[in-house]
Amino acid sequence: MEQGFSGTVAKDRLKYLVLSDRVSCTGETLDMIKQDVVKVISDYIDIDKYNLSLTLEQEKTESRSFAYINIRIPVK
Amino acid sequence: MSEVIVVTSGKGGVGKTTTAANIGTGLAMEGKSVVMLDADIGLRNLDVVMGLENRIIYDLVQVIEGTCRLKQALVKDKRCEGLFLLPAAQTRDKTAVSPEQMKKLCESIKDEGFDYIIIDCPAGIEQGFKNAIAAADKAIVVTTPEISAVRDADRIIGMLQANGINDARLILNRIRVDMVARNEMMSLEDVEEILAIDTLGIIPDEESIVISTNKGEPVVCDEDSTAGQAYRNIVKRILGEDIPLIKLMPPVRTTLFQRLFGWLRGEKE
Repeated sequence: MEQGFSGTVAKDRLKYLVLSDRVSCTGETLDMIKQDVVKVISDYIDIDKYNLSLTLEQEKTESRSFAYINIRIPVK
Repeated sequence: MSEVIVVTSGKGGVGKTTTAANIGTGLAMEGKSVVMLDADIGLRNLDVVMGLENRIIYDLVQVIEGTCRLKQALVKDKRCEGLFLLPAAQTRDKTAVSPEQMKKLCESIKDEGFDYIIIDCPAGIEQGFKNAIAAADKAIVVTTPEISAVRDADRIIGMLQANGINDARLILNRIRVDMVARNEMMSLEDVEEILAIDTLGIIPDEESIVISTNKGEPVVCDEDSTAGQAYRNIVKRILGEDIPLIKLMPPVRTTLFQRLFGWLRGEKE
């Protein structure tokens, strides 16, 4: 169960929804990207695929906000 | 020079028609000549909210098809001078009209010298939406502080921009200040942060809106209603005045003594 006040919960859920709408990218797509990334990198480096994080995030500038994919890959 | 403003939202049931009715009426109360155009073909409601449902003779589709002249179809409002309704057709569907035809229709209304055309857009993002925004110079995006409504508003804003309508302003409808204060409802700041467009106004969730809609009288006419005041402020902002957002106060629990004291001083509950 999600914690905290429902107003904050709503805002967090909404942020993610709007972001994935804007880039037409669902959680499922992100998972597929994640699996592919693991495959590609594992060919070269031994990575800790269980602690890999791949998230859709957004950054705001004065004029507009833009989305980016944040990947963190721990190397073994 | 007339201005065409579309009232839109994406999601249904957030208060588009009520907003269109109040803005149209409010502009007429400020002395402007206004046509309120119901673009929700097949599901017309603006006439009902305005209390004009018994005066409709012709509709928008008949004007476009040339069955009648524009002036024959315009329904004069019963309260405000200079306020007219162009009803949608009830027995047709959204494909009866094309965006090009809507543009032409709005041009012919402009030629009659009206100051404002307020278009009530249907819910959704299909043909009806495309028709409604075709002739618009500006947009008012109505949303409520709910995830689904704000999400849809975000898509609508994107689609408006893709269609060259960059002047889109937000109305946050049905705010419950007591819930916002408890952080059990998103605030205007939360919604603004996500949608990143300018705010035109906020409307409290109030009984007076339901009551006035029941009667077919826009709440903007109600001097005692906070929601009415909020709409009057919105109208002034549309006219270019710089009015601060209405201060919404959570209902304060008062004791019987305080209420009695207030009543003796002539205050309203």
